[in-house]
Amino acid sequence: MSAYDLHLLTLAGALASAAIGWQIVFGLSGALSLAAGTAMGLGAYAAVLLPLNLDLPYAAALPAAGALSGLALGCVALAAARLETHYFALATLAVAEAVLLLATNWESVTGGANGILGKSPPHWLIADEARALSALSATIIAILIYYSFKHFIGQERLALLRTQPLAAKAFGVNGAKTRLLAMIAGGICGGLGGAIHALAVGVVSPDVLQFKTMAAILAVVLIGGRRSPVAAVIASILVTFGPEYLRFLEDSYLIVYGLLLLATILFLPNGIAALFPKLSAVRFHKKQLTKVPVPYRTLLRSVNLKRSFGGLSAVDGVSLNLHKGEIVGLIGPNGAGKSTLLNLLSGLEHPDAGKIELAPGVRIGRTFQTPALIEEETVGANLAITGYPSQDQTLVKSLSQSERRFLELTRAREYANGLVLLDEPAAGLAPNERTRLAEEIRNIAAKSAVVVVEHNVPFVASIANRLVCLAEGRVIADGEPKEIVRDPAVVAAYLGVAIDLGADR
Amino acid sequence: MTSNLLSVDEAVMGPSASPWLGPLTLEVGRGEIVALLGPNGAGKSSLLRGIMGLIPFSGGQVCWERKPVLIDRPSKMAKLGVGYVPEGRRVFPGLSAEENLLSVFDGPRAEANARVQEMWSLFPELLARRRSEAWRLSGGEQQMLAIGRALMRQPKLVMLDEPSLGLAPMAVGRTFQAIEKLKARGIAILLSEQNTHHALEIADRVIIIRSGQIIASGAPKMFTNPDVIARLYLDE
Amino acid sequence: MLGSGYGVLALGFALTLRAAGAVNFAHGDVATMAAYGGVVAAAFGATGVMAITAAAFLGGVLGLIVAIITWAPLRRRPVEATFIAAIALGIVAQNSLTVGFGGAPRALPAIVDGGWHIAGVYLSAHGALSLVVAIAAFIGVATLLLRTRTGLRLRAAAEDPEIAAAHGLPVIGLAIFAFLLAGALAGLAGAILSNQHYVTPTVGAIYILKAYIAATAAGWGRILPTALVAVGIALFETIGAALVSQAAAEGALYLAFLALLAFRPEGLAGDIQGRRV
Repeated sequence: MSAYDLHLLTLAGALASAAIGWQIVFGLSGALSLAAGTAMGLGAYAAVLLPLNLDLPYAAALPAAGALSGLALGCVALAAARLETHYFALATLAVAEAVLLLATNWESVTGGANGILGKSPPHWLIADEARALSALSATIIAILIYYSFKHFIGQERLALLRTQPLAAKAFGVNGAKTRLLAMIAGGICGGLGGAIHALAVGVVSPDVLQFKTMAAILAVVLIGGRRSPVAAVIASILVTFGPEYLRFLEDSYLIVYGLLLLATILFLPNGIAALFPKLSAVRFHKKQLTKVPVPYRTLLRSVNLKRSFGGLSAVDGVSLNLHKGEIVGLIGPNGAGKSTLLNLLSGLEHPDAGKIELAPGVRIGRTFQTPALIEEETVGANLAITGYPSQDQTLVKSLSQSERRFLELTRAREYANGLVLLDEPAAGLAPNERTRLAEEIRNIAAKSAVVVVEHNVPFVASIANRLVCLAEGRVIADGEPKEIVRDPAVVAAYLGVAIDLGADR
Repeated sequence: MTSNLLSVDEAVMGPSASPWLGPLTLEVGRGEIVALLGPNGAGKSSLLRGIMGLIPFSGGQVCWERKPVLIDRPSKMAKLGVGYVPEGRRVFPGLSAEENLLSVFDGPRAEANARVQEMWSLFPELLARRRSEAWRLSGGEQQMLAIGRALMRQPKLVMLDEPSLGLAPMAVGRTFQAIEKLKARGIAILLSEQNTHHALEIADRVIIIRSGQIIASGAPKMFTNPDVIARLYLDE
Repeated sequence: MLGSGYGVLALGFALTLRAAGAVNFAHGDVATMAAYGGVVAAAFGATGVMAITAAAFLGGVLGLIVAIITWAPLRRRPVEATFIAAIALGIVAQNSLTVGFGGAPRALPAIVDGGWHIAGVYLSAHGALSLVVAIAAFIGVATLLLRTRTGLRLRAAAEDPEIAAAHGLPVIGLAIFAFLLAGALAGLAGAILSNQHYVTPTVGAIYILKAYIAATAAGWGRILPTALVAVGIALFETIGAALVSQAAAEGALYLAFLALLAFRPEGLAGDIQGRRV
């Protein structure tokens, strides 16, 4: 292999490392960060400045570069913790531009726009083969970090976080913490890549912090695939070697490259990896969840819960206790606060006032009004988060609405320990399916408490042993189903006759 | 099915083996008010949205003035003469009341202004607020505005989805007074409501829907005893 | 001068934001391309108004292309797909420009030459023309949006596309028109900015960032406030550059923006429905 080829290979390795770092942030965790190029750039600067200013040997400088970048991106993640997709991307873009500004203008440290010449590397890093080897090492380390991250957080949890962030919260996935860890891990990979790049090129300048670095990383991940480090390596090689072998196109290569990128997005949204489904098929291994029987009779206690949105009170002083073996039907007209109450009980929202106590060892599983499943994955994959040993390879997107509801029910049941909350599980089910649903709910209630929010009163009255009716954020009735459905206040609430005016007869 | 305005024939939503809505068959004649009653989640809203083309039917047919219609986009029914007052009113918040009305009209300026004047006479409370941005209007005023907006294209049928939802009792009363005015002008109305009280007072015909099926229909006086409806809503 | 440029650019950006619900990342690159287009036009001898018109026209066409490639096919995919597609289109644009014109920074020739000395300050003809164009653009867009039927329908469709369609409005057509108009505005912005500041093929990213900042600070897409904030940004930069340095001014801008995101994501003017894309 020629010296030049080795040089390109080194650059490709650097790019691959950074790209894999971004795969951790965007591909695995779903955070659209535009600071990957910055991580690479910071790594490059660190790799040059540390040996120059602190006399750090290269062997230490390279990993240190990775660590520093990781730290930097971690700070960004902390600062941008509460931002959603677009704002998060924007914030990272602003950071990227700010760092570029800094590098260009802080001449005393960074050498300004002209950059800084790196210190001569030690003898063992001078040969082209040695540098290519170090690039390979960096790439391997990046891949190791990728898989470590994936297994540490858990593939099924990451998939849920990416596709159904709200449900993820209900299943114990801490989005902010995951994003922070992802940015640190991604930053380390990016920093390593940047360090290798600086080593290969021998000099660092603000050029490496320009948006085009981010663009290159973006291109690699788009062409390769968001969640395939191996494809990222292949794509990096393509992207780096491409210009050489397309020399006959000369400068137009760049345009071809750009158009290829666009074509990839439109026609091959999951990258090259999608062409090899068997290889990139995800194997979810099951995590075992502890299911210790809860010895207490009262599983949940809540007192005087209040929650309002923009001046309107959704839940206005609700106290509710749930006991083992109960099937509690939560009914009430539209806007009564049922969904909000469910969100409060399941921890997705915090009450403005009042408190909720769960008995020790209780874990809540719940379903949502629209099944919050991972569409592109299989049934088995969706259940992996619960440890349930399903090998079912059917894709969720090919399931019917009712099959999805039952899948979500299974997931909630398997995840829960003691308390299951169901949000309109009967909606959209045909009569025979409702019978099956009733049976499943009764089975669950044998060992737990189940709360069923429903509009279909006859259905829930037939399975519940307790009916709670909400209206305007307050509990207006709580007791045996047979009595509740005849309670005048309940009837009035449903028929819309103003409660304080009394029934109009 | 023949009806002189709207007819829905065996409309279905969901897989044919176990649909969650339908098969439903109903019709609305010229000038009559049909009330769709039923508990929430019964499918009333979905039916109206389906007729309007906002969500697809998986089977069945909708006919307008005795001719079958292929509802491939929401503007289709609007152009044929169906007005729509959606659940939650959904006026255009950043536009003024007057602009809300003008924005949906297709035709010469002079005519547009004439119609707007008509709306003010129909809903005098709005005249004073015509330049206010719609998000500032009260719930009741927004409801008037939404109805007025649906009227701008001079529809033959207006579909209202739960107009009383989220409104204070007085506003509900005024809303139903407005609906009566529509009837007086010969406009047919298909009304879905959870609030049975007012709906029963103005409807010519009542259809009760539960779990996606029609379980009862007939003249309003059949249902005026609240017990009857309560049983239909709450019992097996 | 800078204010005019930024203002017009941000105007276009907010337009697509509101009208099409699209975060158009390629907007800045449209401006850049149009700017280069202006260069070409000038090379062929077009001057002044003609060159500006050419830039606007080119911008409009490019806007249309952006809409067709990145927005229309990807409407139903998750939100980030459009975002990334726009970035990719931007890369294509940047690379094309690099190929065509080289990557070195350029100061493109002024649309109009000459200037006057007024009270000891030099006012370039280009600057004056820019100001005129910008004000005309503001007034034009404002009039279009607020007083014409089309503008009204555009705003209605932007507020609630589903219900607008249910009332017979041609929502898709209106959105595409928004892209076209925004593109033309970007073209104008490109022509204005191209003289004052060094332009490189990659400068689009910075433009879009500043448009983004303006849009966020003004409450995510309230069209006229966004333009005003953009002008404010320009003023800030100009004054900061004169007092301290260009770099410090920009840096302060970014820091202020990050602080704004951290503490008050709804922006300064507040969003009408608290709705975030």
